[in-house]
Amino acid sequence: MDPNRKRAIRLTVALTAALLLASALIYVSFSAGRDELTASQLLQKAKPGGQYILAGTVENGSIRRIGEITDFRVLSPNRRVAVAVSYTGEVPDPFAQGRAVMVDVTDQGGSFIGEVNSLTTKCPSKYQAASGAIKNTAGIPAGPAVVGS
Amino acid sequence: MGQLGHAILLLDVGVCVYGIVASVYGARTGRRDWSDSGRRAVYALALLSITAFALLEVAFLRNDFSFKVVADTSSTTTPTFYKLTAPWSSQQGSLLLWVTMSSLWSSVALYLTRRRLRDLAPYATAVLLVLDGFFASLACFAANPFQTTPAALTPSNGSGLDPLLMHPSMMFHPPMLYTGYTLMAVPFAFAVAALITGRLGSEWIRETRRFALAAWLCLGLGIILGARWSYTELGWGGYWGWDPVENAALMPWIVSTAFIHSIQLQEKRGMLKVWNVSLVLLFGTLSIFGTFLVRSGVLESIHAFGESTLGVPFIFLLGVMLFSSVGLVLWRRDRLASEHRIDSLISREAMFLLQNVVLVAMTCVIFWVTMFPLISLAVTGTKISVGPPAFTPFVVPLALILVLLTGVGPLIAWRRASFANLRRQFVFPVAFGLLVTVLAVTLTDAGSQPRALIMFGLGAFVIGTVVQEFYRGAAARRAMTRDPWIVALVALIRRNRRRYGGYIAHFGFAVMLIGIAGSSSFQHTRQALLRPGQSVTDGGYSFRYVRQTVAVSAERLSFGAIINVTRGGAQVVRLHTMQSFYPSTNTADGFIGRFFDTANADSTIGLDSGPLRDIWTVAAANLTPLLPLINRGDVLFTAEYNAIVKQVRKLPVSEQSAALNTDLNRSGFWVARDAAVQGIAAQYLKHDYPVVFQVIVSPLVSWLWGGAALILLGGFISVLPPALVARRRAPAPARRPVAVRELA
Repeated sequence: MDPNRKRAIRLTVALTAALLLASALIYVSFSAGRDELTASQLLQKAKPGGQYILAGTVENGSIRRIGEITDFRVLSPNRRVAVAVSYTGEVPDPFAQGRAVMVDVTDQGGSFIGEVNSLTTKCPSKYQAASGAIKNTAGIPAGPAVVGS
Repeated sequence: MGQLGHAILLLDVGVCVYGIVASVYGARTGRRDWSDSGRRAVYALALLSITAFALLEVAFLRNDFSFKVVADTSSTTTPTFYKLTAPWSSQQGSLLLWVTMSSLWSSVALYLTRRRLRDLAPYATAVLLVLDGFFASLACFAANPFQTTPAALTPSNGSGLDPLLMHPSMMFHPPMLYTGYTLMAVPFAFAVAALITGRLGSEWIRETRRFALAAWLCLGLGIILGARWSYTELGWGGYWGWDPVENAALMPWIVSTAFIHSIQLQEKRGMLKVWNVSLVLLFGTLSIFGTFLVRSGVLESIHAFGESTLGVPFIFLLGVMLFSSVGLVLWRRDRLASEHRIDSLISREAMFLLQNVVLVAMTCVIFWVTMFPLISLAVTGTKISVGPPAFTPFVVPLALILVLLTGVGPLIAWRRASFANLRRQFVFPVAFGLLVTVLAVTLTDAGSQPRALIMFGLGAFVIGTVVQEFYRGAAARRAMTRDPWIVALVALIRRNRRRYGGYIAHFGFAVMLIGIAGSSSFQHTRQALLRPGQSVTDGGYSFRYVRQTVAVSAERLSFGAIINVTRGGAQVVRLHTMQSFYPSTNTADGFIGRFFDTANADSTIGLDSGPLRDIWTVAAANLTPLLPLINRGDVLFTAEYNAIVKQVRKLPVSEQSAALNTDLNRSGFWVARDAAVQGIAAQYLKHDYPVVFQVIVSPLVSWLWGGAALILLGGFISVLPPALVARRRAPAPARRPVAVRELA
């Protein structure tokens, strides 16, 4: 076969494959995606049964743990609106009030249920530490190393 | 000291500006003295940056809380090891580390190439100094690590390093990533220089290949260390979570992987010049893009800095890098024409090209899905996140093709493979791959996960190809030298490090992907609320919560759980997991409550790793029964403290502080407080409140780490300088002539 023709065929095949991959990627992205919303956006857009990604900051004093369930409220960036979330299961170690979190939630008729293992918090190197240094920070003296283990 | 540090940073910026001017002037006029001066400016920059970084480290070690960054990320109780790592836990310190490492690697590269690439070096110097100057300017004007507070406002203690960052990986993971990113600037700079000067032969590629390989090695090591760290922490998504910042490190690594393969085509046959130079420019730009994602906070990521103002300068830099790269390639496209074309699709050249296309396609997919929230925001006005499920349908098939090509590529002949060549090379690996597939179907439940099963088969095929190559090479060598097998194997690797280092990396790649396929497809996860004595089953194992534990030390209180793991009634392992609480520095937490603050806690997982499976457990301490005691203690100690303060306030203001400390110590306030904390903590053993457990049984996780180690070992062997092995050449061929097939 003529080499130029051969190259043209290869190029066409490659471009077609790239086009197909790109189309599939765009389709999957839009069809499988979930809206990433702030608390105020969630309250405006949520519909019963809808699944969303809620991003925001954990409101101070809002965390309550009862057994496997952790209830907390997520603030919108302007800190005027908060959404209550009920989350079941282990929470990440960096999870705490005042810290940025993302959690997949389902609207169950006005209350938002967090999906198991969907709660993520920022790596602690990426937020400014609270500057509340106190006068005396003497630790516990190293007495008996282990009590009862 | 703060002023001195900032002055050094200002000097850094000045040196960069001078070096750029000197280098460009030297290059344009042919004045070597100016070019040399530009190069020396890079050395000076490295020296200054190292000094600045050393000053910052000293500030941390001396607990100099007049430095804002020290007060925010360290404290008097932070262990010395973590004081050393604390500088790069902040935006400011990590930018300074970047400048330090970048200038250091730039100096090494320019020093090693000072007698070669004389035409390119001045332009490369200028490019490196532009990048270094950019980061030095950010550290100097936007995120100054030497910012200080007035003496009157300086706290007596800092907030401390977050407990989660007090992990040995903190010493190695971030610096290794930075090393990888900054090393990638070296090939980028020489590529730009080659394009500007039009000297686009293979010389610049040969000279900078080692830096590309070193960057690939360090970035890969950084990624793996991060994955391992994430695996041992609670809530970081396991070893890989497709987090935007994880992806940002993965993308340049994948593109550099493509480059270190395709470069062989240019070296051997003068092909793919446009492609190779584009890959270098791409991974150089992607390394800055990764930094942009971390520092701008433009995407929600667990690793991204929030509320940062550094995004705009980064977008500007990325725009300059991208447009100038495209412009330069288009400008020089005539000189980048290939000397040869691919003769056949059944050839090593075609396989290398296909492998490169797959790697770049994988990068495009990761880029698209990572950036999709921003793309969707621009297109639809709504931020849409797709998350990990969107990666799988694309990345997994591409990974399968990649593994197949990893096996095929090294065995197939250059230019055009014959049927005889294919039969000779592929019979054993294909048979081995099929055998493993059949065994996996018959002996395990791998048949239920077709994608994992295919990966097992293809991985075995790759392992077969590598084993065959080593066997043939060592056998040929033994025929010549009569060395023992092990000696022949070592000599084989020494004589052709690049080739056999590559094979080791391929072997590791196959092992790693088998581990990923196994652990992601056959993982069993279970969460349960258990009281002491209760059990839960998961993945065929029974987990019994035996009892709770408490450990008290100067730094933390740890509340744990002993878990007994059995299988079919037989003892497997006894695991200990715990959650540790570090004293908070927030006065609002109370005198007792600050020792039980969940915001300052981290978990230590109970892990049993084996060659075939990992058992991973974690338990969240249930402090509910202790809360009444903690609250009561806070009330009592606050009242006592206030009573002492009331007495002290009768004294002159200048004496109050000292008197307060004296009275607190004399009255035994702190001793009583510490005893109360210990007493309350010990109460944890006396209740049987239920605790939330998470247990995970994952097969083949060890293969992932083992495979990654082999990849890095292979890369390390390939990157070793020739001088190290030249002295240990193999002995001369034996007198007995033998037919040896070509090894090269």
